[in-house]
Amino acid sequence: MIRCPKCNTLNRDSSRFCSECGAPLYRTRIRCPQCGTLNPVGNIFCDQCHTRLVPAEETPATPAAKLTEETGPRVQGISLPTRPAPAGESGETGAQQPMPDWLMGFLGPETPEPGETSGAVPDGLAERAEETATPPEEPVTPVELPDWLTSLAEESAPAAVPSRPELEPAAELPDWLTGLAEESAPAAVPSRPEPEPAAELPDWLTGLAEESAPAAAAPAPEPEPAAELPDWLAGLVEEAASPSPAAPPIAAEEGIPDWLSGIMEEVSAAEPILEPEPQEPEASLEPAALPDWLAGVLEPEETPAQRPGAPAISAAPAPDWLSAWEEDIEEEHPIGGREDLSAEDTWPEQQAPASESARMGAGEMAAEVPDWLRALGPRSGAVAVEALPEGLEQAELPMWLEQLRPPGTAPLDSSRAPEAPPGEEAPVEGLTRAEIPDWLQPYRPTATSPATGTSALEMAVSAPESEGPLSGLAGLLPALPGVDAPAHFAPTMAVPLPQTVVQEAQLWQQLLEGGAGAQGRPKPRARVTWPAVVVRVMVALVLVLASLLRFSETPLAQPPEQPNVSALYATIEALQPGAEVWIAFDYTLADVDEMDFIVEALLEHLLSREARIVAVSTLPEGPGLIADRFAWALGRPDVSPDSLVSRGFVAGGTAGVAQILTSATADAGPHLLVVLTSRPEKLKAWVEQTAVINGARLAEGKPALPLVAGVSAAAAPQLRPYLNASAQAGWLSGFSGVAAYLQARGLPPREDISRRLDALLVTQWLAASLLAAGALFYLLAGKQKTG
Amino acid sequence: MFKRILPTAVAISAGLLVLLGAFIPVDPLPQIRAVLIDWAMFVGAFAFILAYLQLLRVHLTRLRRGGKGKSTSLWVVLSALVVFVLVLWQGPAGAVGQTLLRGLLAPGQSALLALTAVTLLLSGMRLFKVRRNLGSVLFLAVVLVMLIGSIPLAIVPYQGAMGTVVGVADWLQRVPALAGMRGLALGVALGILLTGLRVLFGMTRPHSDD
Repeated sequence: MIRCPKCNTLNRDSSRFCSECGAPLYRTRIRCPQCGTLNPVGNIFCDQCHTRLVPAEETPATPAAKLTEETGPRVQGISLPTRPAPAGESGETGAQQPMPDWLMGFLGPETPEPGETSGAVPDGLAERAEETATPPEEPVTPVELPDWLTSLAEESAPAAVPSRPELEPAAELPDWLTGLAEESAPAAVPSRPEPEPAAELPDWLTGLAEESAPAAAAPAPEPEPAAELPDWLAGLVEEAASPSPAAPPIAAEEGIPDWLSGIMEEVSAAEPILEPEPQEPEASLEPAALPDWLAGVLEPEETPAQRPGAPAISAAPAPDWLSAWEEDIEEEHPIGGREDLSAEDTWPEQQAPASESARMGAGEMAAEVPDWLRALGPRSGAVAVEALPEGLEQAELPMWLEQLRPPGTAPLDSSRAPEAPPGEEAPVEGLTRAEIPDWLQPYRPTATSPATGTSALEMAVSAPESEGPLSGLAGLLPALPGVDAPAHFAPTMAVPLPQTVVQEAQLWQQLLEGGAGAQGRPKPRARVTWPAVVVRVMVALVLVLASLLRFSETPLAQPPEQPNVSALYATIEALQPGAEVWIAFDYTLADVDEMDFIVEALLEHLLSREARIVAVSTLPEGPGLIADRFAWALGRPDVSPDSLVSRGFVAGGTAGVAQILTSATADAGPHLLVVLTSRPEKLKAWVEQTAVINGARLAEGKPALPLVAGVSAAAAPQLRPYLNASAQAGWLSGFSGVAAYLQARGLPPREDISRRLDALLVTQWLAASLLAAGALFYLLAGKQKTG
Repeated sequence: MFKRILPTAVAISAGLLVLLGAFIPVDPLPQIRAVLIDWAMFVGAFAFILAYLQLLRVHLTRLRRGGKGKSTSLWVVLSALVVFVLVLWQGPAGAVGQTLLRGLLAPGQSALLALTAVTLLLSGMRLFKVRRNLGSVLFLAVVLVMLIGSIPLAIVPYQGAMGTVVGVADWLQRVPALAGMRGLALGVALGILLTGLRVLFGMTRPHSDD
């Protein structure tokens, strides 16, 4: 989701403009300082290199202003979270502390409809009460259950309880709950058993077990009169004794919750563990068994201080959050104004000095009990609710305890709880604050006295809700960022950008960061290491020495016979004396050493056939080459200068070749064309243009101009297709071709040619060996790591 | 207008005339073709003069501005002027020209060619260091076969394994190399034909400004 910077409206991730105000929604990213990757805002670690993007020590305090500014407008009401808020966001405000279970109970999966109310009960609570009427789908895990509820869930513990435990305030149960249990226990047990400590089972549950035990073992005793025992508790006793033939089956009709019924049924089916004892009506109301506030309900005229038999719970201070709740009631609804109380007006507030609640009298507190809380009271005793003490009918299990209810049991039906007219209620005395057990302390809402400072969270808590199902209630925890926003909420869109866009952005950033110095930076030269230099020198020396040294007086190399050389020899041998032969000197100076032997071999044969040589070149250095070879030819006997004609250099490239051939074939034309070249493109030009000329000559009825070639060994592989296709008259290449040509002519091998052939043989073998050795070495050494 | 149309018209006309003179040997088309080819030779020769003058201008400018490479430019200018004068005086087959040709240019170019051979050999040795794939293996195998197969042996008969290697080398030159070269030649020919047609039809006007 994208929060609009203008109106704070949450927009979809793909939105470019705010759906509310139309403001553009910008995307921002966090650049990783390590790898430069652009990460979505909200990332703590880089997606690419996992570098931490947010400093670990960045856990600012939670000022009030920052809370309101960074979390946006305070979300009214509580919307359900879709994902837990990230730690980074919650850590700033400190508002995402674990919500206590008692409040989480209100955050059910469904938000109650505002219009659905149940009397004076707030909408959310009424809805919650209805939801709890259905058994939860998931069983409560043993981890979440306190010990006493674990034993309750096991439902076998009562069978192991030999006798009724001592009615002492349980260490893990609030006193008021303990008192509630004790209140219900004497209703079925006339006399208190011998005190036996129960380590895991609370007293009141133990009492239930005791009550159910005699029902299975023996006829239940007569229950206590309704005037002395609340009817709904009496109903519990009767229901527990329902398996007994003497007991009337009243459990289902009397409004006992199903989960308690289930407990009782199972307990009754167990072994009898207690002997029925005669009931003592007064035992249920003795101060030691009831908390003060319940005692005050039963005996309005008696103050907690006047009850000597009351346990320490009567003097124990109430929890702060309950005191705050009382204070809130007092402030907003004065005493006697209970009829004005509504769900929108009251809710436990977190901050309330204990002294203020202490100033509130017991009767006042009873009078300030709201209707909705009263409606949560004796749901299970709906039949005899009129006989219940007024304080006791409010004794409803809290919601957090409702959530811990064993699966398969029905909650108390609040809808069946009658609502007494506000004016008819007697003032409740002794409604003191109960002790919160230690295991509940962590879940108690935090409260800080104003003297110690008020945090932003507390300030936000103090403001009442203005709308929603909890409107009018103060003391609520503020809406958390994780409640109204996704966990990985980012103010910018997390839409994956195209790679090209990211690369372009990175390039721009590099340019901006690098400035002008980033451009024109000289590229570092590749460093040449000394081993590489040594290898180069060694290889060069090996090749040079192999080409210079003579290893044997006997020629090592002996070229095989070559058909193209034989054809060339036959072509030249067929020339008539005085035939005009055009020779193109189109080889470069780099190939002079090789091409000179080819020129000499062919020129010697041509001169021996008394041919007239016309030399031409399409290269600028051609005239010099022609002059050099003519000088060599003129040094031979029986060679007249008239037989050697140089046309020199002809410019124009291919056009020059065409011009040469055109001028040469203007008259009778040459009898043979010899192309001496080491450049493939030159031979191609000669071959192509000769084909054009030959086409014209054939059209005129003239014979075609034969073409022979002498090429360097390096150019031979490339020129072989042309030579095989167009130079059917023959060709030769390299020293091997010269040797073969001399051999074809029947001449003895020339020593200089044989020596060069031997050097060529050795160097080629060495080159092949070095190549194979190097390849094998680097194959075993491994591939070079690039970059 | 003249800068755009006239060069294009001249180029198209010259191309058509040369083409017609080559395919239709009917007078005066062959003569016109020969004349145009002569003009091309003149233009090519004049291009050499322009290149020589441009070389002098660049290096004289560098000498005038100074800086890095000034000494090299000085040597280039002096060599060009001296050789030009001497060749004009003695001709291409003169003593000075031939001495420079055989004593300076030929050894220099031969040394560069030999250095290329050594560099290629070193590169082949280190091929597996930087690249290992099927192409590298094929390349090295072909090089080895061609090196060994083209050795003019006298002490080892062209039989047995050596004969096989020589046969493989010859087959490589006759079949794969020939096929590749012919393919390239056909491609080049088609490219030239297409370029020529584009010029003839005015689709490409390399001789005009646009």
